[in-house]
Amino acid sequence: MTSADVRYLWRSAAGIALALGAIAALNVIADPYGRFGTPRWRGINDAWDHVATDLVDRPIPVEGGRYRLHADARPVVLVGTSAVMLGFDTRRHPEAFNAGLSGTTLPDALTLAVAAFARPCPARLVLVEALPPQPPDDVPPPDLYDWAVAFPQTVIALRVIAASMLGAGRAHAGTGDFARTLDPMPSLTSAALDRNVIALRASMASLTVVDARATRRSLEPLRRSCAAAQGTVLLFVPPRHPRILADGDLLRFQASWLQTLRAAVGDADTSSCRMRVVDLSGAGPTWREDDFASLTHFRPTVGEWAYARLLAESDSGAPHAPGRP
Amino acid sequence: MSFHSPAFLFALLPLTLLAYHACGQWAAGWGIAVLLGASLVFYAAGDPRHLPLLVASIAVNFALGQTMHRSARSSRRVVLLLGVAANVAMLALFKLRAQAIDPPGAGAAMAFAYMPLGVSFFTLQQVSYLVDRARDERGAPPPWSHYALYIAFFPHLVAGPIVRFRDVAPQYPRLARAGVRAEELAPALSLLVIGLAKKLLLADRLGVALDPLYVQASAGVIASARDAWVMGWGYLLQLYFDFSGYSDMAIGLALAFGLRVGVNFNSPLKAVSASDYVSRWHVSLATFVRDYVFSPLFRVLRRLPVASVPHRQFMAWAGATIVSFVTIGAWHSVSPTFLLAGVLIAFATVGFQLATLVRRRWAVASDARIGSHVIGRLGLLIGLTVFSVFFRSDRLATVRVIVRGMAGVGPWIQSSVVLSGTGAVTLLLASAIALAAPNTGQIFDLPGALPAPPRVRWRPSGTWSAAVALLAAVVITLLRRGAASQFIYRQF
Repeated sequence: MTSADVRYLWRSAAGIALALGAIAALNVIADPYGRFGTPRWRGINDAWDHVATDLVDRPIPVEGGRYRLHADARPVVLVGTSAVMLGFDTRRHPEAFNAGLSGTTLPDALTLAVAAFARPCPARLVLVEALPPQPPDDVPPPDLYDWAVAFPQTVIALRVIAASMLGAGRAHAGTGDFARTLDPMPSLTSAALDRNVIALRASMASLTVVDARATRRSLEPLRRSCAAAQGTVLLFVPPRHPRILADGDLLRFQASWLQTLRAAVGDADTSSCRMRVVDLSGAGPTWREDDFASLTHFRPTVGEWAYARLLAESDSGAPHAPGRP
Repeated sequence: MSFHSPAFLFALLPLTLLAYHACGQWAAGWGIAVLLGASLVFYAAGDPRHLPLLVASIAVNFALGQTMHRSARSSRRVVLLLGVAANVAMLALFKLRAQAIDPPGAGAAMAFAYMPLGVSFFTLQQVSYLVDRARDERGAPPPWSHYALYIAFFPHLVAGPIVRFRDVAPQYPRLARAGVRAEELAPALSLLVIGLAKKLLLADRLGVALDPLYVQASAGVIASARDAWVMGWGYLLQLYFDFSGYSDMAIGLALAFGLRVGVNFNSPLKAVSASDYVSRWHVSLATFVRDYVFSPLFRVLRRLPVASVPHRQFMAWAGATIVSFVTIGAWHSVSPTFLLAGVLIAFATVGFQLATLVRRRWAVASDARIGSHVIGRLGLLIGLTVFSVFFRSDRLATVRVIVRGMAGVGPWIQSSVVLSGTGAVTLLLASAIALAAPNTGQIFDLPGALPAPPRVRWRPSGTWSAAVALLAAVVITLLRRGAASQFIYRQF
């Protein structure tokens, strides 16, 4: 063995350890989801709500959402896809935590809903966007490696620190949830909407949807945590774009999985948890295309109406378990 | 198990290196047994169902080689024909089965489910062994352990490089003595890190950026001609970095145990003609096809009594070229997109060669030659960009949408799916590396690599160790425990 080669190997190993240590330190300092309980320092990590919610790195935002929910005490929690994230402006509703994430599936949404009831100060009302009942992803939950070293998390940590240094944390402080504003986004053209309807049809047709029995099983943890917290869950179908309401195929598909979801909720033992499906897709004012930024994203004006309607629905249901006011 | 899985990098590889080194210290002669054991564990972790097939295939082909050694010349030919036919039939059956079951759009996932891991690669190695044994009348057959390692050695088992027994056999006695050497381990691990970076930092990031565009094109949506070209060029780069990254890892891993394997990618995107490109991309497959398909066929066709000698020579070359490329296309997959791509590349190569002949015939002036050289290189890159769409698309309808887009034929559909900023940066970085940087064969002075100036060569210096350590740290951040992306060539 030549000494130069042996030295090279040792130096490389030390360099790797040093670089990984620096990356881990960066992640602990930025701590975008409150995983490490790092205090917030002005100009260093105070822009912690600037977290990315990329579809690609699914487990991190979902687990991150759980940590963020755990540290929060707001009584109302909204869970769902980017439609929720962009459509409900929680700056106007300080009692609500928006946990909408891009590309969320029903199993992801249920995981977050369970977390909302399981925290030290349980949520009173959890509004879950009703999504097609799908089998859960076969992705292991993130571990310390994912939180401290993994590339997607490190990119998010760098974003947090950059945004904090630029003062974005101070400018944006307030909601501390996943809500983002959509208002500056222009509406799609008519031709683009037509093509998006076709793409949405193809995407819906390719989904694997489980039956009512499997859906009921996947709702069971939520029912249990909701009962323990004596809370309310509303699985809601948000207002739909006029193009969707005019498309027979999409409506038929929605009706089919909604029936499965209703059957599963109806069969579940909800004696100590109020759980219902609320369909807002064809309800309320006649929405125009301008009320939506895309086929699946409604603007906050629509979100305001939906939120008020859901709050009203949560009060009008059956009473809680006997003995609870 | 893949080379970029934590289970391999942090468990199987270090344990195998330790065991192999321990053998060198205390149990010389057991090196091959250790490597064989590790290789079988590696295969079983990736595809336990087909492990018996691998073992049976090794046993049968080794037995055929022994039989040939004991047979007379005429019987040897019969055994050879039987052996080659059996290997090719097995490979064809698996490919046809995967294609029959594979619905459009399922792609790699279905191929993984039905194709035995590495079957396309180890079958070719067995065929090359049988042909070489039939040619080598006096050579003694190898010990079974050497032959088994030749087929099953984990660095090249799953996706090549396709090595020939006669090239690696002289190194096996040294492998049997075992023992890891720092002068081999240092460049080997550096090459492994660079291969991992090519895969995880470039190929996978390009895949993440391009996949939504291809999904959209599959639904008939394409936003602009620029998007169409980005999809083609981007996938060409993804394929290049995915497979050349894999090859770097394989060559580095083999070197870590003392086995030197030749270069598999020689900067193919710097090629100046179609034939130059073929000699640089997947060198081991090109060499196999040249030696076992093209050359024998060329010799047969050249003897056919048609046309004048120069014309016959060209026709034999063209015929053998077309058959070779169709064979390469079918070897990848028997799907219509691959077969069509094979045919088109074959005709493009013949066209390039015709153009060269015309240039020579008319003795084109040197400045015009420089112009045609540039046009040739540009034409080649454009052609490769178009052909890569055939390899990536799930069906011919998607190919049509993208190629029409490349030709500037709409209708353009506004879409929210666009190439991300990270994707664009990755594309630019990958393009610069593929078109301008020296390749790993040159950097690590691998057998068969193009010559390179000494300043770009790897050496055990502080600068190299810092660069490799930084790259390794980034690579470690990109490892995934769960649904890690697979190597594209694993599906073939």
